[in-house]
Amino acid sequence: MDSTEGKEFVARFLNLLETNKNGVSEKTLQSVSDSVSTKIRAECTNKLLAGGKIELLKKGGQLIYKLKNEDQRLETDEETVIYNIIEEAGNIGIWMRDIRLKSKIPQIQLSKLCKSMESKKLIKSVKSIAANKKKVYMLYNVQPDDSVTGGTWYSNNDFESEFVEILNSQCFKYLLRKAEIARSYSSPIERKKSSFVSSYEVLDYINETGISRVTLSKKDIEAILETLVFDGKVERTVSNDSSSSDTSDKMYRAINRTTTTTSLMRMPCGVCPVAKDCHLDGVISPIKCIYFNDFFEI
Amino acid sequence: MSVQTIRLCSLLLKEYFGEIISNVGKTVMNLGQAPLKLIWLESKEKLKNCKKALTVLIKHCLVTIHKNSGGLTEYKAEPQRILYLLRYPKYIYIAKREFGDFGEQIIEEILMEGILTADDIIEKVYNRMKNSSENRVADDNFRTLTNISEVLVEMIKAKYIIRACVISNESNESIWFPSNIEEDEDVKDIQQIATKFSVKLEDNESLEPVSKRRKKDPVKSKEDVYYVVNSDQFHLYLRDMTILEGLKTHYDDEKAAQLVLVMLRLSQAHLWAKETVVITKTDIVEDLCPKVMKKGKLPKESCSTLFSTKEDIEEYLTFVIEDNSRFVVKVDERSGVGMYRVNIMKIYEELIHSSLASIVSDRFGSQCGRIFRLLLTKKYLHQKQIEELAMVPAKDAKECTYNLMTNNFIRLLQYPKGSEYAPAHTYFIFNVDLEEIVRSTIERCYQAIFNCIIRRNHENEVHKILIDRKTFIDAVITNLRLNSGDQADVEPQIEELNQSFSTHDKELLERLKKLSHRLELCELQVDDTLFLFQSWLSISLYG
Repeated sequence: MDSTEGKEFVARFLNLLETNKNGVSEKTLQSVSDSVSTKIRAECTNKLLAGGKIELLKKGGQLIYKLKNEDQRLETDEETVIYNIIEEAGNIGIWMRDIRLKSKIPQIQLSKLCKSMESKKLIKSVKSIAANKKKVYMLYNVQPDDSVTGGTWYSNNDFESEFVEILNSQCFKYLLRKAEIARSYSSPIERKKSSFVSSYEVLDYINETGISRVTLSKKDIEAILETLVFDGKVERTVSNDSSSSDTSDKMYRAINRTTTTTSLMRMPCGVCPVAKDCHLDGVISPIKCIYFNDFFEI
Repeated sequence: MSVQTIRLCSLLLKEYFGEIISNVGKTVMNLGQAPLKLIWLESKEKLKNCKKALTVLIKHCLVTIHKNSGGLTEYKAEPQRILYLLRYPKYIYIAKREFGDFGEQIIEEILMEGILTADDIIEKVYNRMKNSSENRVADDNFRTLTNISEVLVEMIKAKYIIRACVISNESNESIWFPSNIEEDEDVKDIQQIATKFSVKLEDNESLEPVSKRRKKDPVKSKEDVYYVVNSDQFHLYLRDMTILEGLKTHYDDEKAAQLVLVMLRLSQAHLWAKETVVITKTDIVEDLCPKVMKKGKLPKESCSTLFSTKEDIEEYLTFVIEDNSRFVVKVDERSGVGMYRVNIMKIYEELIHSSLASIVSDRFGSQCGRIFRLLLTKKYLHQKQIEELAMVPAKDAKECTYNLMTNNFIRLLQYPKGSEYAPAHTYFIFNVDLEEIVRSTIERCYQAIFNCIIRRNHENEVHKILIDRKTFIDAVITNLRLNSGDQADVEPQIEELNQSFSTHDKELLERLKKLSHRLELCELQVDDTLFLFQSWLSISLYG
């Protein structure tokens, strides 16, 4: 179907079907498209079938192709109405309740119609990540929006936190390695400059390692790197390198935390979960404190 | 003044001054500001004790005197100063580091008494030296004395010790307060004291009555010139150290941190300054390698150890300016000489942020730490935004925000779309109130220190008999060693004495030693946190 030959064949085939409303037999088709190889013909026919443009019928022991027209697919007026409403919603999709409100078709009938349309592959239902049990309808051939599926980080409506964590640690390892190499420079400015890595480089590295099954975009990797910034492990800056064509390239670099552990946290009272109830003559008191006991044993 | 503060303060007073003073101090703190009679009635101590306690407290600057509109003298506690008691070991350490053994002893003596005249300081330190070095022949009294007085003058010049003014009012009560008025006369006085004191010593040796001699004394020091420890100056030192430590890890470079420290010292920024004055590059270079400036190129060893050349300094200056944090900024450039400024507030903010984030991560896990830091940088966020930016599953993110919220680390703000607060028509936004967290963390520090002291005292109390026995036997052993000439004769006896402790006892003593050492260390470390947080509060309030 991709080659010019295929395209030509498809056009001729559809034209033939248009003129013969009652269908075209395999033989006729063969005679019309002699020049096209069987392989291409089969491929194109299959694609048209899968796309729902034509249908295959059996008539007296003979296979016939027939054009499947929209009018035929939308059997009733109600279906047309629903189809139009769903088409309007685009790739965001529309909720069953909203269809009901707009079309004013009673609930039971509507769900029946939707089901039948779904089986005819006119529309499809997609689970939204916004609400767990909320289904939205959209046209069959529409790619759902990221806001519905959740984008790269979601599979089957679940947030893939493990995937994110792995990417997070891998990115950090990469940045850390770069920073280690940069340490060898004696000049502080050089050291700093060479430890910065652009998000493109990180992206290339991650895509190369093959951790991710899907190819990640620059936006995706920047989201991951941002989480490292919020972990306090990485510092971000915007490159102002005039030689690079992309001026707003984000650069990242592994850093030391300014304070490792606050000294308050080095003793039991810092992390004590019951500090609120700790009093001299209370049930919980510093004298009887079990956390202190453990602290002394170390 | 919170309940926790009063509790800690009275415990500290008890540790340093004993039961009665602690009781009186606690009463004054509870009352806020009160006349003597009320303090006496409330504290239920004897009037005499009450008066004495107040005198001691006033001498140590822990209670101040005020006159109310009715002409009645009222006493007011200074809990902030009482908490400085915690820092005394640090003061002594700093004095030792900066001024050597004499400095350490001078500070120790003044801290012990609160206020002292120069005479007394020198006399006490001298006596102490003599007692401790009994074996050494105290041959050169005069030199020791001049040394002490020199160190004292140095410390006064460096403002670690300042004069306390004593002002007599009409009712003949003395009020005194630290003063910055520095008279050259004072310094001369101190220098003379050494001479005078050595004369006095000789008098003593000649067994002449001192009182008789004194009248003839040509130089008489002023009786009402008292000296106190200037805690602000020590805090300045502590501040610089805190900043140095923080910057070392931040820049990941010792030299860069030292450079900023030099700028801080040069600018002589006062304790609560938000930023330093503008410093020119020339000043910095001159301070770091003075000889380079004067003669151009010189062999490297003559320069300061850290920065060898002017170019080196320039490079580091560019490095600190280009840093994302903007701790040091270039203000201006005049005739080719850069002017720089250190933003102390920014450094402190960074330190506070990272310590708070570490507290949150340690208490609630790294996921909460991430969310907390996210809120610190982005300020105001919806729940939904938090989930997306932190890349945390919705359920976990909700748990984290709930945990943080119930523990008052973040707050929830409600902005209704209409006039009513219907949940469906309200924006719920999370935000961090830094000052509130800092204050609550300070309270937590108070509690932690309080608990440390209580637990330490408790452990010592429980094993009091054992500890007493140990000290007694140790004293006996030392005596034996000192008094008997024949070592071989004494050894079996010492062995026998040591045998009186069972293995269990020894283990217990060892454990006690380790434990109290650890708790003391905790107190000092928590005080570091306390210092950082309190300084941040003061800078943001008064700076």
